[in-house]
Amino acid sequence: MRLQNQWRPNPSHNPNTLPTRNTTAQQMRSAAVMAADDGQPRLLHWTQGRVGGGVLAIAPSAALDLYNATEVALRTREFNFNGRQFLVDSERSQSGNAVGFASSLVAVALVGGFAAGAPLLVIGLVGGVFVQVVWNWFGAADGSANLMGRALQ
Amino acid sequence: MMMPQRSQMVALPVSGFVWGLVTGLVLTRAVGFKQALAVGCMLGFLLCITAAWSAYRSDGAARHAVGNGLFYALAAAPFLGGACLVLAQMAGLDGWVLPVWFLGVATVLVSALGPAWQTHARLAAEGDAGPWARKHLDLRAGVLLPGALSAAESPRPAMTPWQIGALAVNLPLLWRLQGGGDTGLMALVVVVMVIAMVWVGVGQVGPALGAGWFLLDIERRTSQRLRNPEWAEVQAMRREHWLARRFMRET
Repeated sequence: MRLQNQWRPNPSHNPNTLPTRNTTAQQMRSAAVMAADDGQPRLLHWTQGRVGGGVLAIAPSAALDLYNATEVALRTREFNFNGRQFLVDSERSQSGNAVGFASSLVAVALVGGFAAGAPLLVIGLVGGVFVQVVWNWFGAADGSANLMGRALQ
Repeated sequence: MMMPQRSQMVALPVSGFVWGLVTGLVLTRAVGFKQALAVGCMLGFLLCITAAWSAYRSDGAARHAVGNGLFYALAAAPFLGGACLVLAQMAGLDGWVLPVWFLGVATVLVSALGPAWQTHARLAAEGDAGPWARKHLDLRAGVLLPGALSAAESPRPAMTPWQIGALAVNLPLLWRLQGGGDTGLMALVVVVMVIAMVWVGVGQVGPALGAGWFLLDIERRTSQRLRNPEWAEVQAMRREHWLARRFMRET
């Protein structure tokens, strides 16, 4: 309720509608953001914050790296986890993820100054993907993996 | 065209510098690391200054629209040029690097300046008493009415920046898991980026720039500065912000 009052000029008068008299464009924008947030399914609310976003950014690659670093001998059912390989692979994938994630945030913050709506989303998205691809193409991901490998020796 | 909100007062200039730096570093393979770093630092500095002006000192009216247009040109044109250049290099078309870079830059500039010129010509033909001016200006009070410099009311997408970042990170992963290569992904990214930039230029930045240009004409003719309808709120926000209050001006 306290959050609502930030964009509602006189909430005590009418709790159900947004008063249109004296409503500024800024308040209308804030209302649209809140309405959009509220429209998302409850199950996805955890993804809206920095923790949820960070988990979503890191977890899929971490799961793949974990899978690649794990060996199970079918006959003996022996379980072997190669921690060194996991750390090196993680460095390779997560460095690109971190750069792509940060670039996407920068793109959204910057483009938000002159654009809104769907184009903002698309530019934020492709900005992050672009920088991540360039990072890998320049060999920076392999370079950071090599650094990690040397550090672990 | 939007006035920066409180959360953007620091994020916008910092993002401008980082964006400029990344845009410069993208040119590393074409011009060498030192030159690319120098270009990136210069572009980042320019973007940082322009963004800081917009956040701390802009009047939120005609000059803000024109400043935003300049900011867009500085941010988007070299970035798209760099993206096209990287795509050409990845595809092995090293001889086409320069023309492709110009093509990317021109795409952004033409898609923003064309609609700006068109909007200005239309508004100039309508004049001070035309439908647009009647709807968006109060010349007696010297105030722009809400929506004067917004091409279209367009709410923010129903995704937070964190969600967009997470999606941006996982799309390449999904692409690679399906067997796609980096060159194919880059081609897709550049095509989508061109579409998005043209969309922003034609739909939002260009018309706002044209309207700002028209308002500057009016200000010159009438010798009065038109004010933003949210001016008092913007100034109050600046006064409350620890950094903005050092750089803002009261009038």
